[in-house]
Amino acid sequence: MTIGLDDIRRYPWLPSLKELYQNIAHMDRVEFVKYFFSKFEEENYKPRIINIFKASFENYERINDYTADELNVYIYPMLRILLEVLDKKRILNRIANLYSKHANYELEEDQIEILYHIAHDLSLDVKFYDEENALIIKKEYNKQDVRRDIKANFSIHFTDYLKLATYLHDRYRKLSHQSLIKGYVYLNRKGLARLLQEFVRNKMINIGSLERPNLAILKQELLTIEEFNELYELISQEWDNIKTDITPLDITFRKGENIKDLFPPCIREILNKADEQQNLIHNERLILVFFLLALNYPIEEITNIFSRLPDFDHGKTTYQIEFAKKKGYVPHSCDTIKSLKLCMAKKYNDEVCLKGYFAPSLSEQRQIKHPLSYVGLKKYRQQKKKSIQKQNGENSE
Amino acid sequence: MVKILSETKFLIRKFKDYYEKNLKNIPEVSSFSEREFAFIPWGDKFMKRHMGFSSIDFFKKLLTKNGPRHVYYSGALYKHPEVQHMEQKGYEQCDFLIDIDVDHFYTPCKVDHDYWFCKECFHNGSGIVNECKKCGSSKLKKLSWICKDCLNIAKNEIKKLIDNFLIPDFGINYEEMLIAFSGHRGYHLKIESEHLRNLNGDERREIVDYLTGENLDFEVLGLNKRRETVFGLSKESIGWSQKLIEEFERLLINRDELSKFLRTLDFKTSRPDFLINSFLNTTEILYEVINNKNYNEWSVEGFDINKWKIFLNGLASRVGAEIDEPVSIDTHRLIRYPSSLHGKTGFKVQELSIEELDDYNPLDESNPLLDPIVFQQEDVAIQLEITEENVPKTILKGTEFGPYVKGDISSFPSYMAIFLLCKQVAKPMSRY
Repeated sequence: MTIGLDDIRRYPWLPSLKELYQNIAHMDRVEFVKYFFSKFEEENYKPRIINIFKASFENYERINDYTADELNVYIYPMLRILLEVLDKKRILNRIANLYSKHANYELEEDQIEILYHIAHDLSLDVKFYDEENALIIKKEYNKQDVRRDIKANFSIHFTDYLKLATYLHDRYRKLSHQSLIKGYVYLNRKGLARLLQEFVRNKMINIGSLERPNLAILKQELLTIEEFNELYELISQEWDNIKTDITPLDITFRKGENIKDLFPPCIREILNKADEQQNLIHNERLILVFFLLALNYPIEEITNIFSRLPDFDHGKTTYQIEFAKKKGYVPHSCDTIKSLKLCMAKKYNDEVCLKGYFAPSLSEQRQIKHPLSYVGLKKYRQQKKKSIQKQNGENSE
Repeated sequence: MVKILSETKFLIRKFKDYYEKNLKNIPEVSSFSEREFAFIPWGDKFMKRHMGFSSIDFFKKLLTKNGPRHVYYSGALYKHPEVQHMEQKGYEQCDFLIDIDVDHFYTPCKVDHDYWFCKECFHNGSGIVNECKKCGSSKLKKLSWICKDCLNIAKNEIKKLIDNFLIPDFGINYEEMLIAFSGHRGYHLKIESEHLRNLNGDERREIVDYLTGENLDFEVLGLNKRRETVFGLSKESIGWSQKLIEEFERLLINRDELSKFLRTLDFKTSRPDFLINSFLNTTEILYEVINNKNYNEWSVEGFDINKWKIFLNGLASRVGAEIDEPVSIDTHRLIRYPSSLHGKTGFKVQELSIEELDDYNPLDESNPLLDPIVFQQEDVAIQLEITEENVPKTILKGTEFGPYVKGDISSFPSYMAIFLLCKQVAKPMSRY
């Protein structure tokens, strides 16, 4: 069994699309868009495309009218072109999250063998084992204290595994926590589906090979196509509606005082991701909550930051932040953040993090060991600068 | 009056001689023209890097002309290896490099042969320290030495890495692994595999964590607490869980070793003896539990889940390999060129097969083809004066030299004289 038409209709992001739909494989974007509108009726394509965008703006995890038909195959490249032209990172992230999560749902519902064929189509080095040959990789207790076997129906070469799993930053996906035998990581269906989900997300996020000037030309040309222009406007309108619900990210320590600039790179990185509505991993969420709570941030302010995330649930988030506050968790230290590979000192080339600071009383350079010390130091420097400026002002008078 | 040649000139001459006589034995590394090369000349602390050679002949000419102190090449392949700026080199791929160097981990013999001297308060001592034991200053002058024991420990680490990780877990083939004695305090292992060559630094870090056992999350591996009962890892869970249990089992049947191991752990308690005794009194039950397929309650008085985590962390350090992590993660690292000479010893960087590794003894190797001590042919004694406060005992080619103190004058066979001069602990007394 290889990838057939039915599979491509369900999973149009597969490379086999080019082979099975050779007629569109070599079309340029404008050519494809024109062909799309000549082939399909507005009443069929419009609600489905708009629904995908609406669902992503509402942070849904499933596309409720997803239909594995011929139109679905054409919608996928159309989505990519629309995202390219819309040129908004936040929309791109939301669509990538929705589309990949939906793909995961389809993969978990489909026949188990299809995962093997999909992985193969993606040129991943994957092996499949039927129930009889599935390897027991783990013993686990369920909630009733009964031990059960975890079986692996798949194995994937560790280099392919690393390409997909490394950036999940999920402790459960860490290579050291996997069953690795003779170069292959053994996975159950859920594990492989999660990796494929990440593939879909990456593929969607990495669209846009065009340089800026070319993108502007493309946009101009596509917007002259009436149907495309209409879709573009509708989506932009939907986005504007939802955007008004999103308050701009403004971190305030005390009312009226913006201290976001005083935050260390690790925290700024997480806030930037939240701002771009990228999904945050578990540890990033914890680091941010404990850090902001330690700075006496109001719970509503923290909840607001999380409201941008794709999987936001107001009730759950507020409960968890309140719980963390009640427990009084200590914010993560630099060492812990480093061990979680979330230290961004090098990425931001932050001098304070990398070189430390000079403490005159100790006559030596001291390293920053905690994000809170970073804020303290920056605040001290800020205040000192202000007082010098004030003094200079007084002197010049 | 006899004019004394400087030790540097002497060493340059010796190194040039070696390269001239052994040109045909200098191997050509794979993808030679895509590698970056680097040298540290004699009398210069700075590395001259960003060199590229279209053919090995030019490279060999440079070796014989200059007799450099250290010779390196890149694990990475570049379109333009000779370009100065890294971002313009056109990075393509990088072999997976592993460096095991006793400099980076504890060996018991260091107390016997490694010295330190505080530049602030002039206090001194032996063993490995990062700061002065008297004044706490980190401005230390260190003298690190080699002996059969520490090189054996390094060899065992590389064997552990190959036998316990690279072959069974990562499925690396014998022919993809290139092993070399570094010429000083350890071994290098280069994996030339198309799969691994394409990994970036973050992905390489994941492999490093796997090889070292660092950053393991024992709860993800199966350790958990339910209703005040701790359930342990399972021997049947393939991967690190199994590795840890096998080590646990090995310790349980070796009470002395277990006791010593427990004493190395910091349980963060005021009553460590109580905990250790409690553990030692439960060994039989624990042995039975970890071998029982249906029951896995780890019950030792005083051991909550956090104590078990400390214990498992200690086990992970024993099981994991001691590798120099940045070398494996950084895709722009350089390693010593095979068959070049190490400027801190005068020993050759000797390539070895896995089979040859088993009985390999770099300080007294019986197979002349694998012997890294190359300056043995000359039948001349060289008189040197010791210039370092303390020079530890050295055993090379079965002969014991030293220990020496500053001012000692003695005659040495050329290989030992070159070793001491390379180590910069002696100066020549006569014209050679």
